[in-house]
Amino acid sequence: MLHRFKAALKIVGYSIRTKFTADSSKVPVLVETELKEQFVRGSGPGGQAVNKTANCVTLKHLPTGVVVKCHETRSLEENRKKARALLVDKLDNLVNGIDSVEAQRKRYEDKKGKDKKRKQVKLSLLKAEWKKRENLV
Amino acid sequence: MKRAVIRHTLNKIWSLTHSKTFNVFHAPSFVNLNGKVFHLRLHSTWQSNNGNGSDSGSFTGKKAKKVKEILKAWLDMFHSCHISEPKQSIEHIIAHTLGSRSISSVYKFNNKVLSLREIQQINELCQQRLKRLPIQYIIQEWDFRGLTLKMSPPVFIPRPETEMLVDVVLNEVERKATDSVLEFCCGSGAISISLLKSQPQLNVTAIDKSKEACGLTELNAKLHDVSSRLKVIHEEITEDHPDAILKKYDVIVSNPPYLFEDDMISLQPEIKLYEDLEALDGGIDGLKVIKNILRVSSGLLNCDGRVFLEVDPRHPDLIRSWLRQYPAMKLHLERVYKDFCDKDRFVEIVKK
Ligand SMILES: C[S@@+](CC[C@H](N)C(=O)[O-])C[C@H]1O[C@@H](n2cnc3c(N)ncnc32)[C@H](O)[C@@H]1O
Repeated sequence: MLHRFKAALKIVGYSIRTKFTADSSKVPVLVETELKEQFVRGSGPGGQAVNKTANCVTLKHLPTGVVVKCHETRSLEENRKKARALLVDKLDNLVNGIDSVEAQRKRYEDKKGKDKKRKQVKLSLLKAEWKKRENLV
Repeated sequence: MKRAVIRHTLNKIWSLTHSKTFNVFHAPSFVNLNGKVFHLRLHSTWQSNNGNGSDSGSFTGKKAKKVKEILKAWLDMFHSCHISEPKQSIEHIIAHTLGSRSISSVYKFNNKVLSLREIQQINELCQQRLKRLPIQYIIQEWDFRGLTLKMSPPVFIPRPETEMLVDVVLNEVERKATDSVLEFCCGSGAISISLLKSQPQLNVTAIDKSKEACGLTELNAKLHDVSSRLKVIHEEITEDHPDAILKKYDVIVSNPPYLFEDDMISLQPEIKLYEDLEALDGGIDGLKVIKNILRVSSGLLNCDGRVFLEVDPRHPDLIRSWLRQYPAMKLHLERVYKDFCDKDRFVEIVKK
């Protein structure tokens, strides 16, 4: 069960949008016994006797008190996985600050944006020069 | 006294919303009972079409055209009609109409102006909800683990507890490195198809006594591209060896009907009215089908093979002592697993 969740974390936690790979050596690892998980389904008989669509998961990280909620999907199991991924992100930001995966990615994307802008400026300059040279203006 | 009146009124609305001809937009006067008015009519901005009244239920008002407005209107309606999970109901109906699986899309498109067709669809689906049709049947699909499965009444709607049963069985399939699994009582095919999706080498045979269930399992298998590895058999499990099964297995799984007869009375209307009660009813002790499954499994398991069952929390003890009474079956209850609510929910039984 546990290793499945961890495997899922790897996939859900760091969506790969670009070639950029963040350094994740500092990312906190969740310990299942340090988590308190709550479900809307809560008390009552459960199982076949209940047909509910609500499957919100609330996950609390006991050592820090950080809480996340997930009702993003219609499957409880998927929500449990996603809640863990969210919690890792949140703890990572909290503990690692500027070294968190999110901060690293943001820096990368900002830089990429600036690089792109610089390239665009350069290109339009070259174009203007070329037009001038060829007497196209 | 007050309580009795309310109960009476609710019952009345209940029977009205269940008559085939009932239509909230045609019959708003129904709700004036004993001087108490129930708001079966939506906002004043909701009105019958162009005044000719032929296409009732579609929305032509100038104001409530945005997602958030239709959401609010139906939410109020569901509240006043005491529909369970009013918020989730309208959220799922709108998300489905917007072509999304996630209810967050409803809020992302809060201000989206809906087309007349979309509004009409939302209204139609909401009217089904007023009749207590489960959301999963209304939107005709639901998610089980990572899979979206087609749902259609009266085939049993998979419950989230069962997602964990699949984890337990996957562990065993890996441990034993077995290439085949047998499932009793497959319903919509949730368990079998999940196993096949996770294990590309696996072959599964699935049995159900309901024709609709077998058909839905086949449809879902096709949609998830595992048909070639799934054999569906339409047969009822009795005390006797099922004719169609010719080999022995290391792993058998089932989520059989396990409710105690007495608990059936208090089920939600959503279940009682629309789900196949044969999928739920386990007889006096909830063990009616489970006992047959164990009898049959005794002959179908290899030595050290296992059967994994989802059960009622009262069942593990009952099953343990029942198996002791019949040592000839050579089955032993080896382990009990809890569900996410910490209830004893799954049993692992080994053939010695
Ligand atoms: C609780 S549902 C389980 C469906 C599915 N496996 C799931 O977990 O969502 C039980 C299923 O058992 C079937 N069933 C009930 N009694 C049976 C019997 N004696 N033999 C075969 N199938 C049976 C019903 O038709 C129903 O589809």
